[in-house]
Amino acid sequence: MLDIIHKRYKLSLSSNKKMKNLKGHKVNIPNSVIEKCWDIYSKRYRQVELNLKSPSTKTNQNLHSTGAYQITEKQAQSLTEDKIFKYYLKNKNGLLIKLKSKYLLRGKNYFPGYSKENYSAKSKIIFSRLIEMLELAGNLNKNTNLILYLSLLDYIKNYLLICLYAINLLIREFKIEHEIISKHDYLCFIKLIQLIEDIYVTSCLEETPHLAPELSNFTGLISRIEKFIGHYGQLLTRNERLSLDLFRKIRECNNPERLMSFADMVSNSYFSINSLIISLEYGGIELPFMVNALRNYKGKNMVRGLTVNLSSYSTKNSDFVQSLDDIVNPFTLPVFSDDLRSIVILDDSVTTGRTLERLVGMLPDSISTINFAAVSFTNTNRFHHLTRKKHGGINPYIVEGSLFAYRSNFVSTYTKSSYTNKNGVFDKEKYKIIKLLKGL
Amino acid sequence: MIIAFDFDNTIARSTRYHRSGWDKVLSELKLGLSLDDLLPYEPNLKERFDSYRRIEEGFLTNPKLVNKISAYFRSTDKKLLARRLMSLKESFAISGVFSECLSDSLKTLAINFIPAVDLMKRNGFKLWVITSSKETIVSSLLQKCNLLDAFTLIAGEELMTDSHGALFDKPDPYITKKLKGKMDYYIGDNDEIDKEFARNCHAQFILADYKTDFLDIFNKLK
Repeated sequence: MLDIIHKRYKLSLSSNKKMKNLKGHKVNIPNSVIEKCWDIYSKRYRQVELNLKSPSTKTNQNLHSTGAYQITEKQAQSLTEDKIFKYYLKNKNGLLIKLKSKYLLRGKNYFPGYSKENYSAKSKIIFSRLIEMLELAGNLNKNTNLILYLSLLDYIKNYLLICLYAINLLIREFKIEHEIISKHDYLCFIKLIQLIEDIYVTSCLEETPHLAPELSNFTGLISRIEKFIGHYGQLLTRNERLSLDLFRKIRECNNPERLMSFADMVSNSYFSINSLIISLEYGGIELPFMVNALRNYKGKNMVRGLTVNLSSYSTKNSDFVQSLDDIVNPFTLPVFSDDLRSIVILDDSVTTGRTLERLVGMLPDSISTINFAAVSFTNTNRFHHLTRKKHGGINPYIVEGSLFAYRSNFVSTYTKSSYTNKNGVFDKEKYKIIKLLKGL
Repeated sequence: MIIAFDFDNTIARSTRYHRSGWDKVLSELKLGLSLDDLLPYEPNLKERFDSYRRIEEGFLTNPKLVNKISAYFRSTDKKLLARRLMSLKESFAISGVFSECLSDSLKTLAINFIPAVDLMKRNGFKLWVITSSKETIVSSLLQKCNLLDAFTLIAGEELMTDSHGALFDKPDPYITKKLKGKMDYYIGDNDEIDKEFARNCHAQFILADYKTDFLDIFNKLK
């Protein structure tokens, strides 16, 4: 049975590649060196890229190219009694996108950050949907359709991750004056995200909805989170940049198949007992949870994980962020225990390596091993990006010693003055999503 | 006029970057031996101290070492392992260049090298580096010292290697087939290899090392 599951989801039973220690290696190679030695660097990048899957690789027919679950009209006809589908149809303007002969199970409400409304209106959408969906998920029966169930979990974890980003941002940037959110609540919230990921992975791999009636018990916690964010309303209205960024528009790296494939690869790697996973927000925010869900499924120990953000609105310049304490949620402090020796850094993609280098520079000397893995990598089509002033490219030795699952969705550059192609597109998948949303 | 320079010990006292790169390799692989054990001094050595031949002899003949190195790189192919070792050393050497302070990097350069380069450029000379070291290491040090843009061409080990992986090191003039233009002078520290290389490339040879005042070299050339 497991063999069939592994084949179907192309899970690897063992990993051929071992993550190499990047400690002591220069992460970002300056742009002028990249340009001078482009023949050499591009060959090395290409060797790695050749062994990665194409981003358009798809084994699940119920998955749209934008990462949304989908069902055909014909399938929908037999699902009219399904509780989840009834809920979607009742709220079809927000929750579904109807194409010619199919329904995409990610509607405009999946991307609340994309709407032109203020943060308060966005917050209302997120929390009302989240509470509805948790209640729904906690009251399903075993006849629930698997694809619909996975799409519901997809919605829930999307909202939870949007909230996690918002909570982390607010707690880092503003002093918590009142105990509206306690450390206990925050840690419960983290556990909820992990629970959803665990249920999702199990349902996916066993091809049957793994129900969790306890999910409806979390609605009280969600209400407290909503109140916490609302508490900062006045401060947010004074800080336009922060309020615009509070709920991010589109999360890169939310394609279920790619996430699963990547997390499977990483979860096969050896993690010493004194390890910590650090992932980079916003693109990498889900990764520690997904990796731990796969580890849990395989009977391995969970590894402590946390997410960091190298942008700082307080200082307005990530160059001034010098301490890891400034980029993590204070509820996760202390970050480093005395016996911590190994860190695995996860991200959705890497190009110049500057962010990775900055993060590595903040780690204490006591860390002896630093490994890196990202969902996607392609640098050979980004020459103008890498050779742009102050950019550069990631050290190919680090690329060769890290784990990647897919080639990236990024377009080929044509000029040093823009990250996009001539049509103004940077990320092909993101562009498709924006086109779909604009059509609504 | 095209002036080509050798790199190691000619325009830069660069041995320490290579040695520290190798020291870090040994530390990373936990081989328990020193560099002098694995790449021992040979008098009258007519090749790089860390040539692939010497790497294979030094690192890949002792079965215990081979086991450790094979386990680290997950391969048993000796040619591949030699390249992987070199690649690891390359990355550590580059990291060594970028992690030290600028004044230490500048002290690595030959006497009056920067003003000499400036004068050569002002006088319309085209400047090349032709070396058996890795192009990436050379470019990194020159970039660190803000000299990279002064050189039209950096040709290193990579350009001396053919498509089958065979290395055609100096004094073989193989590399000249890949170059656009012909050098007029070759400046190097080895009176045998660099001199023969210059002769094979139909260029004039100037003997100089990092202790030479390069303003004197410029005065000879102008």
